[in-house]
Amino acid sequence: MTDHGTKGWALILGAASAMAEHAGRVHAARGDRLLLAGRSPEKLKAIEADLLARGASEVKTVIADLSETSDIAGRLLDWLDGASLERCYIFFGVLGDQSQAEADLAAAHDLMNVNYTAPSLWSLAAANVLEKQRAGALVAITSVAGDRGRMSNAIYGSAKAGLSTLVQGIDHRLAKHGAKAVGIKFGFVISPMTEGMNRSGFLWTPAEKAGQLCVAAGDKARGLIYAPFFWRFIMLIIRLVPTFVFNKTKL
Amino acid sequence: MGSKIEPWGRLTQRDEPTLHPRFQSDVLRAVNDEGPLLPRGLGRSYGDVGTAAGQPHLQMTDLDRVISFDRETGRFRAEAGMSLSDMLKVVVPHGFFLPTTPGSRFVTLGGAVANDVHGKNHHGAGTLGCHVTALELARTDGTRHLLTPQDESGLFAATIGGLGLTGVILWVELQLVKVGSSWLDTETLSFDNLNEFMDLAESSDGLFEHTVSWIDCLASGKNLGRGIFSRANWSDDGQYKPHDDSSLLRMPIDLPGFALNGLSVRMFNTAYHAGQMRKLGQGREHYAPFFYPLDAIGQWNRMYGSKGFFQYQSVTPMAAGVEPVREMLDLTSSSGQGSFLAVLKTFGNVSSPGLLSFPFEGLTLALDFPNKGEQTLKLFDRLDSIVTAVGGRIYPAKDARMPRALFTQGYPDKEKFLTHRDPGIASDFAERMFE
Repeated sequence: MTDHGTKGWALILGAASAMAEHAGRVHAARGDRLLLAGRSPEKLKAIEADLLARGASEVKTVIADLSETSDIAGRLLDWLDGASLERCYIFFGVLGDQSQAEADLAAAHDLMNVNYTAPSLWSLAAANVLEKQRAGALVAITSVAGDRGRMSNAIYGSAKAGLSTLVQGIDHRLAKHGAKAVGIKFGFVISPMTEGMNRSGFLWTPAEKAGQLCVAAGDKARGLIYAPFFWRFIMLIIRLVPTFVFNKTKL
Repeated sequence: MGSKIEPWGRLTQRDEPTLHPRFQSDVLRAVNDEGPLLPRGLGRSYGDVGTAAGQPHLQMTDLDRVISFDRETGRFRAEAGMSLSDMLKVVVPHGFFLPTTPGSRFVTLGGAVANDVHGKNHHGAGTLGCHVTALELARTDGTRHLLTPQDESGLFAATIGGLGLTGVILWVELQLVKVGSSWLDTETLSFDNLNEFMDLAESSDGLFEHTVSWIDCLASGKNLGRGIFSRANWSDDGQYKPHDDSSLLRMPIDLPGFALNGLSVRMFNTAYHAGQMRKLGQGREHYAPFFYPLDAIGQWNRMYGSKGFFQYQSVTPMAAGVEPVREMLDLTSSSGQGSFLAVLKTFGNVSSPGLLSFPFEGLTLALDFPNKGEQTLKLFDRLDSIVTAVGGRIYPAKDARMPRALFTQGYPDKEKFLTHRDPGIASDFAERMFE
């Protein structure tokens, strides 16, 4: 992250996810300072040792429930402890069980909270810091599932659609202040989130590649992008399918 | 949900249940709840030590973290699923290297220990297992064992080269070696026959850390046993540049069967030979092309087409001299079942730490054979009798067909090994040898 001169933190929210870990490795190889936030002390400890060995100049971990929405702004400032925020990644999210969430609205509420409300509040908190710094980038992981609602994952998809729009708007706002934001709409990623699906074929992106794409997006992109790029065309086609045809499918 | 599980030789290509642990806690849960299962790395074992029909395969490659690395002493500890490739990227910039390395960097640390792999410096360094300072094993009875070479129970010795059958290796600690450079000063010589090979091997022994040779195994008659001898030492220019995996070639499809007729094998071997010939003399080579020439072609195993291939790697005792190697080459050449590669190397007298470790002092010959069914298997029977007659053995990591009797004869510590076996671990090889 040589683009900002001073060495501030690369903050990774949801640092124990497979994609996040691989993004962390790219930063470690650059000798960056990493601030890892997640729920499991055991996992963060293993990742911390690894990132240090791979070249990170400093790694700090914070154990936190990121879906807990109280005092997000305060917690963020606490963790930064006066240092600058060069990169803020938002990786946490849960695919969830759509049919269970349809039957039990409390479960639906939880899914909406962890995939929209909480990441959105973290995004807004990070945006305030970046705006003030007039530097740095917010990178939020969202999904092509937000491009068209479908029966099997409309709750997750709608949350991601909301998050995408918010992050895109944050970028619009930060553009006037020397900072930026990017939402990355991923297609199919081979990670624990999709364990149990048939994951062969060119549409599937390994978590390692996805993590690297996240860092590259933070380096070069802004606004809202698809990753890998070809999903832009796949989703264009899917959005163009007329409703009377789409409703005959069972996707 | 299944994944495609195929060993490197691709003699079987099956959909098998697969688990993808990411953390040690995930492994422990699987080891306690599922079973019997088989831990699996990057699938570079040629035959069936890394497959277990119908059983869950514990895909260990996401456990790929460094646990600790002392940049002063070179003591390195990492989770078992870390690849040697990844590991070298971490340690080479600090002037360290693996104490010995197999011919592919795309193997996991756990797999390398479970097969007690060897390399071009075996005559000085012994096997990789000689440099393991500690490891942790999780057994399916719920116990965990921190094992060191000082272990008196025998479980350490059973685990080194133990083909994963003593439990799941969670992490491995190695003593790395300090090297003077990421480059090697190499020397390439040709030899006309096996006696000349023996002379070269002997005269290189104390002077060159790394030695290996390629045999033109299609040559017959007076050319039998001709080949190329390669030897090298680490440079000392203090340049430490790790390799880069981003530009590897891939072999995207199986080559069709006709690509492997006698003529094309002959052409390949000639080209390979000529490629080596051009380098005759002294040179300087980065460690990646020197140690891992075939890694440059991603899935070179697909070169043999969809029926797959066998590798036959034997070791015959030094006391038997070069004669068994000559007989095996003669048989191979007269069978016309040409092999892309024949690799010949001397193993030194450093004793291997594992009860089922493959190397002992002698000559090791590795031959590749495209799978032509019955006639290939018949050829192996005849090769077996040469190995049996002199008290040699076959390398399980490469094997898909050795008869039980040959295994039993070659590995006299088998019974002792079996007392340490974890009954909750299954593999096709174990089924073939022990059940």
